[in-house]
Amino acid sequence: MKGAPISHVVIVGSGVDAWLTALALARAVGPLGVAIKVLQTPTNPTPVVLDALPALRALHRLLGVDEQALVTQCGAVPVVGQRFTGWNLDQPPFVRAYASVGDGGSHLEFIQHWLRARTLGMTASFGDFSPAGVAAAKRRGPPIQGEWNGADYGYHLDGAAYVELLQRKALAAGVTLRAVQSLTVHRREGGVEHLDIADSCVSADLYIDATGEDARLALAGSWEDWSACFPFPKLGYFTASRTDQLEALTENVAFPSGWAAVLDLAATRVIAAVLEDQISGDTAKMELEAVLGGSLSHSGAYTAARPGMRDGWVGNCVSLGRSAIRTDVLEGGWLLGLQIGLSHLIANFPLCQDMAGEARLFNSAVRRHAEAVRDYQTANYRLSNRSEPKWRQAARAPVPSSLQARLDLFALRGALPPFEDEVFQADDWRMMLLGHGLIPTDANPAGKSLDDAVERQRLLGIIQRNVEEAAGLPSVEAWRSSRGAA
Amino acid sequence: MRNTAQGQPKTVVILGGGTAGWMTATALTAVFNPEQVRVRLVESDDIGIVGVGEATLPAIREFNAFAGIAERDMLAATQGTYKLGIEFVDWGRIGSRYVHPFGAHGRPLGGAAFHHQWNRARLAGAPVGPIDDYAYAIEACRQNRFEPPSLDTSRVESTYSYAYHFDAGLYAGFLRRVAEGRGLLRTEGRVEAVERTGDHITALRLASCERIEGDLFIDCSGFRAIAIGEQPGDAWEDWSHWLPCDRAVAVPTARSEAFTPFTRSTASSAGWLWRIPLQHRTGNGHVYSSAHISDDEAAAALLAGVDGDVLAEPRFLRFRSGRRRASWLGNCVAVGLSSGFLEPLESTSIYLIQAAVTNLVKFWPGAANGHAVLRDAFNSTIDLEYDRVRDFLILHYWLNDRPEPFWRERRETEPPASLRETAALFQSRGHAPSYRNGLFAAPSWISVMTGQGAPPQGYDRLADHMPLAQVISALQDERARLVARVAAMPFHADYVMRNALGRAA
Repeated sequence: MKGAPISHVVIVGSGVDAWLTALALARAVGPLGVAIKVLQTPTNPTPVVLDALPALRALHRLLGVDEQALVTQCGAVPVVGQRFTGWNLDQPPFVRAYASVGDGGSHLEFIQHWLRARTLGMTASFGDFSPAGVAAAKRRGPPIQGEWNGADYGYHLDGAAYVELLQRKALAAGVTLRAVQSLTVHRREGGVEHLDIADSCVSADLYIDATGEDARLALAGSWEDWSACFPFPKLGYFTASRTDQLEALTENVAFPSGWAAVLDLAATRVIAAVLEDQISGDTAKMELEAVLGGSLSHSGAYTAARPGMRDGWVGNCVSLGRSAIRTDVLEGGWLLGLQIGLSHLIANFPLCQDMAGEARLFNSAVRRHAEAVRDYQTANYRLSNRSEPKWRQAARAPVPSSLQARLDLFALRGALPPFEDEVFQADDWRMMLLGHGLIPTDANPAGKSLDDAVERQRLLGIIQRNVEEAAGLPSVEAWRSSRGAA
Repeated sequence: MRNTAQGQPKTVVILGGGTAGWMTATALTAVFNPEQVRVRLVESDDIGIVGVGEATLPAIREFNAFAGIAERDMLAATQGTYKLGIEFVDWGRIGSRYVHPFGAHGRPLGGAAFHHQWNRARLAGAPVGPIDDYAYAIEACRQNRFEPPSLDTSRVESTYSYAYHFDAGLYAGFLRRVAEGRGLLRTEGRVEAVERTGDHITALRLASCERIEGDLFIDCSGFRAIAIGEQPGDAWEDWSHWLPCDRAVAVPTARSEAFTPFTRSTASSAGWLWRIPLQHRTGNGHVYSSAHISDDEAAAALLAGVDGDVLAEPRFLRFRSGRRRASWLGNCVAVGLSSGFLEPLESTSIYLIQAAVTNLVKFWPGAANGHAVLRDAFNSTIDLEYDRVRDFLILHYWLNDRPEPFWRERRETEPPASLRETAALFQSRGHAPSYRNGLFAAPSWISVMTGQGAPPQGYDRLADHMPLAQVISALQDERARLVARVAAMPFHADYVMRNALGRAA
C-alpha cells in the first residue's frame, strides 16, 4: 500500500445526496476510525417526494434505517411497481412490477412460453405472471411478515422528512456538521488540496462532492450531456388531496406536453410533472388537472432536468448523486445516480492515499450502471406512440447504439443479452418493452415443439398461484399499520 | 416447397460425430420434435474423433438438464467419475501446489468476503495456511472423497459444485444412442464436397455420391472445418503468441490407486501434463510448445510421469490457439474445434460447445428478415465467452517464476490489457471479477492468483469491522469443522461404485 490509510472524509453538500452518503459512510467506515464531516451548503436539492426502488431497502439494512421510522416519520408508502398510463394510444395501461416473471425449469425463457400462448389466443399480460404485478392491480401491498418470494418493493418517502431522519441518524453515529455559506476549493494535481471556508481551512484524505448540480468540487468540462435522450427537461411538483385508498405503485401518466408521476404519501398525493420546456405553468396545471381529475396546487419552483454524467472519481475527490449522475426521473431515477455511486464507493473504499485503482474500478462500474439506466429510461420514450410533436420527436430521436441493438433483438426474438449486476434486470426490461407494445415478431421456433396441454397447465398454474397469493396480501393501510402508523 | 433460403430451417444437418456433433444432436432432438425440425448427422467411422475434454466444468449439469440427459445413465455409460476441481502442480514455481475448486473458499465473515479476512490474517502474520485450507471442495479433493453438495444453502456443504470426467469416445456413443432414440437420422459417409451458393450451403456430397440437403448446417468436423470452410486470414484471431502450446500427446494408463475426484495439471518444461481419472483407466496427456521441445521429448516426459501401466501407443495432436471471428456464417454454424481452439487447461472445450449449442437454440433462425440480427447476437455472445476463457488461461502462464526459457518468455510476453488490469486490481486490494454470466467468477481468480504466488497486498477495509483475533479464531474453527465434515463424506471410489458404476468397470 502506498500512503497512509484514509482517516478523514469531508462531504460537501446538502439534502439527500449529502446525508445518505454521510450515514452510509458513518456505518461502513466510521467505526474503523474514519472521521466524517459534512460541510453543509445552503441549497437543498431534495424534492418533496422520493420514489425509491427496492434497492434502497438493501442499503437501509446497512444503514440501520428501519421501516417503523420510515412509516411514522417519512409518510412511507410501500411501492410494488410502476404503472404506465397513456404512453401508448392503442395500448391499455401496464404495470412494470418489482418482481420476476414466470417460472424456471424450461430450456426456453418464460417469455417464449408467453409468446406461444399469446398466438394461441391467451390474453393475460406478461406482468400477470408476476406476484407483484397481480398485487399492484389489486391495490395490495407487500406481505406484512416474511420474505416475498420472487417480488420486492420500494417506497414513496417524504423528501424533507427523510433527509431529517438520515441527518439525525448520521449525527448520532458521530458525523460532524458545519454549515458553510461560502467555499473556495484549492486544487492540486489529481484532486483537492484543501477547502477554505469563512474563517478556516479544511483538509481531508477523501472529499465527497454532494452539492448536486452546483458540482462545487468537480472538475469543469468533464460533463457528458444526455439531453438528447430525454425530451422533457422541465420538472415541477404539485400536490393533491389524498385518495380514499392508497396506491401501492407509482403511476406514470402521459399527456400532450409531458408526463407526470403520481406518488402517494400517507397524508398527501404528490405529482411530479416532467414537461416540455416551452409550456407555461398554467397550461401545465390545466393539462394535469384534466388528465388526473381534481384540483392541484403547485409546489415550489420549476427546475431544469439537465441529464448527463461525469466520471465521478478524480484523484481524492468523489462526486456522488446529482453532481455526477442525472438520469431521467422516470422509475425512481431521481435517487438512482446516488444509489449507484454510493454502493460502489462503499464496495471500493480506498485503502490508502493512492486510490488510482479504486477510481478506475469505480468509474468503469458506475458508468456501466448509469448508462444501463439511461438506456432503460430512453426506451420508454422511444417506444411511445403518442402523436404530439414533442412525443414524436422523442420517439424518432436517435438512441445509443447499445440500446438500438437491444431493441432490434427484442423486437424480433424477444431475447435480451445476458445481464450483469444492473439496476434494471431482464424481467424489468421485458415488462417494460412488452407493456409499451413491442411484441416480438419472431418468437423462438422451438416454442412450436412444446406440448399444448402441458403449457396450458403451466401458465394457468402460475396465474392461480399469484392470484391466491395476492388475496392474502394486505392493503397499503394495513401494511402501514403493521409498521406503527396511527 | 422446401424452405431453402433464410428462414426457419426444416432440415438441420450436423457434420461430424465427435463430442461437438453428438452434443448438438442430443440438444436439438430434445428441443425440437421431429415433425418440426428434422435433425440429421453425417459422420464417417473412418475418421477418428479428437475426443477433447474428457474433463468438464459444472455447467455441464445445466447442459444435461437442457438436453434431457440423466446424470446416472451418462456416468455409467461413459466410465465417468466426479470432479471437484483441478489441481495445479508446479505452476507458478516448481514445488507449488494448489487446487482451483468448483466452489467458494469459506463464507463471508464479519461483513467482508472470506478471502479478504483470510488475507488480512495472513498479512498480519497469523499462521492461517493457504486459502485452499478453507474450501470444502478442496478438502474433499485432498481426502479423495465425494458426495453431491447439500441443497440447504445455509450449510457449508452447499458451497461447492461438481462436474465429471468421462471417456469422450464413450460419451459420443452414449449421446448417439439418446439422439437416435429421439428420431435422429445418422448417415455414415465421408464428405467429398460442400455445394454452396455464396455463403449459403445447399448440400453435402458424400463419397457414396449421396447428396445431403439441408436448410441449416452445423459444422462439428473439428479442426478441418469442412463446412464452414477455410477463412481468409483476417477472419481468424490468432492467440498463439499468448498461448504458444501447439501440440499434445495423449496416452491411457491402467487405473491407479489414487482415484481422485479432480483433474491434475502439472507444469512441464515447455507446457503441462494432464491426468484424468476414469473408472476403467486414467487419461494422461502432455500439452507442449513444439518450438521448445520435440515430440519425442514430450512423449518421454509424459511417460515418465504416469502412475499406471501404459495401455496404448502415445497419440499426437496438433492445434493452434485462437478463434474464428464469426462462428455463424450464412446458414452454417461452427460448433466445437471448427470454431476455435483453447487448450484444455481449464476444461473449457465442452463448455464452449455447450455455450454454442444453447445460444444457437436461443437465436435459432426464424423469419427470413431477422437472420442477420440473430446471427450477430449469437456471434457476439460466443466472442465474449472465448475472450474470458482466453484471459483466464493466459493468467496461468503469465504468473510464473520458473527458470526454463519457455516460462521466461511467458512472463515476459505482455498480456492482454484486460488481464493486466484485472490482475493489478486483485493484487492491490483483492478485488476479483464477479460476472454473473459466463465462466470464471471470483473464486477462480482468487485461487489462481493466490496459488501462483500473487496474493493481494491489501484487503477490503470493511473487513476491519471484526477484530483480528476473532477472525483468526473463526478461521481455525472453520478449518477444523471443514476437515471433520469432509471426513464423514464417502470416498470417491465408493460413491462412484454405488451410484455410477460402468458396465465394464
